[in-house]
Amino acid sequence: MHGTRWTTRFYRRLVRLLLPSRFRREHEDDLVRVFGDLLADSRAGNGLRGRAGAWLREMVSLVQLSWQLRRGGWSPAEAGRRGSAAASWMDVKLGFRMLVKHPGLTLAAVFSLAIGIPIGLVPGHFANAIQAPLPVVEGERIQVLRNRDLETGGEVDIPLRDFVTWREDLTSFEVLAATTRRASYNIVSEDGRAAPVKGAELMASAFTVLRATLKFGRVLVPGDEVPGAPDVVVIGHDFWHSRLKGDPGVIGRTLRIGGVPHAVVGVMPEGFHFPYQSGLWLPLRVDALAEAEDQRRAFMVFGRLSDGISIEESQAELATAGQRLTSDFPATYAQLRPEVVPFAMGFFGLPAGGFQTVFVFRILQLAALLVLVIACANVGMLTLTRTATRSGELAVRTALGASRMRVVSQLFIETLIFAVLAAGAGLLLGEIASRRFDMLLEMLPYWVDFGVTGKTVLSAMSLAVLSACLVGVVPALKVTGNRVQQNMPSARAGRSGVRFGGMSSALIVADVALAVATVAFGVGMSDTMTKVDEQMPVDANEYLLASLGVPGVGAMADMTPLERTEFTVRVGEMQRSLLQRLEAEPGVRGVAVASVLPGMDHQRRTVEVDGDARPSEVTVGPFVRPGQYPSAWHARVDVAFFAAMHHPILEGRGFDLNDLEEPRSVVIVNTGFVERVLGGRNAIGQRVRYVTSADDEPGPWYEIVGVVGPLGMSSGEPHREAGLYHPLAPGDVHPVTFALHVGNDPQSFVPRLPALASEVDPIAVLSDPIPLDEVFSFNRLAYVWVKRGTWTLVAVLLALSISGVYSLMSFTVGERTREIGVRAALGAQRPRIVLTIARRSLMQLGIGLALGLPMAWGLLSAMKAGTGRLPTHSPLALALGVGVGVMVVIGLLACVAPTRRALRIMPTEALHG
Amino acid sequence: MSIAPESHLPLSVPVHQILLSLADQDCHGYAVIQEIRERTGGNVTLTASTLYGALARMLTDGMITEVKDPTPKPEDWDDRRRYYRVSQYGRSVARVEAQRLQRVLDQARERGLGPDSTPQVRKGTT
Repeated sequence: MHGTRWTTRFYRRLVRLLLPSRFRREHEDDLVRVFGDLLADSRAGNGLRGRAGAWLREMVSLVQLSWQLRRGGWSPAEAGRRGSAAASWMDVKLGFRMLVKHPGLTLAAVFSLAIGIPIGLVPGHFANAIQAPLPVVEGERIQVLRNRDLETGGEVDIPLRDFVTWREDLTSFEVLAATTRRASYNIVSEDGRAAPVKGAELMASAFTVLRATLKFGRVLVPGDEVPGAPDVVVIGHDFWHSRLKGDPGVIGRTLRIGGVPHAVVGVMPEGFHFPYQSGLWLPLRVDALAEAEDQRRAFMVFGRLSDGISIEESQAELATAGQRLTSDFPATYAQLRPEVVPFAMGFFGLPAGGFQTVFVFRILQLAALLVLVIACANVGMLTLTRTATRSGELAVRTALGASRMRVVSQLFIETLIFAVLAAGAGLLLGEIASRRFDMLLEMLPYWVDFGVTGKTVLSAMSLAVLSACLVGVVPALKVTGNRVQQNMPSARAGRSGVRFGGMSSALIVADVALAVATVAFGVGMSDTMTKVDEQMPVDANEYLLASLGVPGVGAMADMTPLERTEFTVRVGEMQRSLLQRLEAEPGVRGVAVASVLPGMDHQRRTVEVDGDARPSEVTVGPFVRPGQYPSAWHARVDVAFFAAMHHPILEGRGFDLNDLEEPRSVVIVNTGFVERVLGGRNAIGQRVRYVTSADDEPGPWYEIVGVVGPLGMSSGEPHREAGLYHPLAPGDVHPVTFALHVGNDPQSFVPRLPALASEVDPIAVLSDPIPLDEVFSFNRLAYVWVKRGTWTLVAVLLALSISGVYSLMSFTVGERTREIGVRAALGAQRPRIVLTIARRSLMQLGIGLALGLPMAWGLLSAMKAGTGRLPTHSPLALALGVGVGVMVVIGLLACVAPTRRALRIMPTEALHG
Repeated sequence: MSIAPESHLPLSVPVHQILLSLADQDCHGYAVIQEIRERTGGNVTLTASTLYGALARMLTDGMITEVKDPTPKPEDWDDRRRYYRVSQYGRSVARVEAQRLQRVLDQARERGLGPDSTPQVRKGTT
């Protein structure tokens, strides 16, 4: 159903693109509706092949109708005579023959479209994978209810009062439930082994919403949510199979979760990991807290739409409930708007319309399509050249009675074949590539699958049709224009007879310009990403990373002052105790505690240096520009942090316990800060503060007491970033992240950590410990992929430009054969003739270069705006020089063969024409 | 209608089938496609574009008209769709096409190429 809606939307867009407005005014809605009906028919009755056939037939038919309507004069009486214009198997066979006959062109075209089509697909494919409905019965009917802050546009945690009201009032949902989003629990099984397991606290009604079936045992029931009820847990198939050895008598066994014994009551089937990557489910005792009306917990409310109820209807009912709450509690609800969104949008906090409504995503989509259009332009150039060489054949066919429609249709089918082949190859590549995203998939919810789906195939085929229109129909229309009959004599003389005139020159110029810009882009990107090859500034393979927290507790910023004080004391005690135990462990050489560790995403803020002129603008960016404040990454680290990371203080001093006294007014900066923000001045004793906007009151001043080397605060530029470190006391942040220096085999310490965490506090939750270099390697991997992808793209674009320039130049010089022969017959010297030919080609190349260099400069300037520096001059100049040299050589080489051929023609033959 | 029905001959397959389909009932587009597919045993399957291309021209040529708000409304009437009815002129066109086909059929029979003719071996061939 969903697929049909999508294809119908696509078909409507095509209709609007292809058909004249007069026709659309009358028939668009009916046409699209019938298309949807027919597609639904084919879905119901046929296999994939039948469906694909029906879809393809509709597309071809639409293109034909467009042709007939735009040409005008079509009538049913004529239609009989034009019946032969319909695409036939003969065209398909001819198309395949042409592919074999021109293997070079076929390879070049398939290769470039096999790159261009998947690139065009990537944004939409990723969005579809992320926004997919849950893999449960009628998963698309499961919706999330959330509150949106009208002022900030952000999502606000659901007050319990809302949940209770919604559950009682809303009839548009069969049943509502709530769950925590993600958490990790220390599980100690009966044999004493401890390990962290991802899980969720879930209301019993969630199993009804999901229509989940059990492997065995029972699911959670409302009685489990009552305070004082026995503690129970439902476990996942993987946990049962790996940790409990698939024990058939698991029901009733006890697991210690966060130090509390829980009885296992059920096992879920394989593949069930709701809502994230969960392996166990605990009852969510939400009603017990409902009396405290304003208490908020970070959980997600979701439900299954009642039969026959649309999202819009449920939204209307929710809005009514929201108005009631607003009138009862205006202070709390005036700024909030409840909304119903599909599950994935709710889970990821996306806008109700999904990625399609996000501006950045649209830009990405546009960029991806631009790559496809460039690939199409180049393939179109090759096709045009080939089609032009066949203009004689086409003229003969026309003379024998073939209509223009018939000829264009055949040429379209020919290009459609290699576009479809390319799309197939691209999908295959995509499927293989998606299997390489294992690491990424582990970080995403269980329902996200980047594999090729039916919708992806349909999108790829749609792009193939679009590509075929661009690279097949346009050249075909050019070659089969009104002058096609005039090509008969040329055909007899073995020439194409088609004159490209200014178009060939324009295409050559465009391709040369594109090649130059591509070279600059490649060099610029490569230089920007040299950091990939740089070593991270820490021996990350010797550190183990984990975070410690309390489940079900959100950010400390959301707490009341009293709550925060109590919580800080408790968490501080927990952290101190864990640190003591860790430091006492044999093999632990040091423990670094921080709000965020090297290699992870830090936050960046705008800073002001005492004594520097105050600029008028506040913009977060890495570089100081006139009129703007500089910015810097920041982190909070404990007093032993730099020692544990083996990172010496280069100037001044490190933090000590006195620095933890309020107000904490000291910071340590890194060498990047000294270089970029302070311009190389002596940092010690300087004062800095954060600014949010030019009008707001700035924060307190901090005195710089020390300088350290770079420590990987931004994975993009680990050696160059400007950064600030604040002192961190136990309990300051929650959850807290720490890095254990444990030597060359951090994995060996992994099993010990959860046990230590359990000893500290039964409710303490430890995230999955991972070696620090995995964090780095993930970032590095991403850069390596981006770098490889960039070079592949550059190589493809260059190859296309070069082959396009070569074929078109060679063709245009070949078209001057007679002129060359005549000049030779009239006594012109050979060197002069060659010079004349070369001059024109060099002029085209020169104009291309003249246009390409400003484009290259523009691209590099855009990169500078993003990264702050231009590529080093020497490699850029070298690459541009090589690029220019290659284009000139290719251009001249393209002239050599046809010129030599022309010069060998006997003068009498040339004059005879 | 000033144009003689004969000037439309020969009719294209879609146009002829649409006229036959609308001969005894008013239909919307999808119903026309379904009726043609069922009647021809799946041998003629129109695409949406073919159908509406033909319908648009037939409306212009006066072979069919659009039916709006009939009284009484049939039970299965769908307000979201457009219904079509064959005009007298359309019937004339269909009739002259049938006559043309009849003549073709007669001529084929005369030469032993009718659907019910027995295959014969021509003299002089082996």
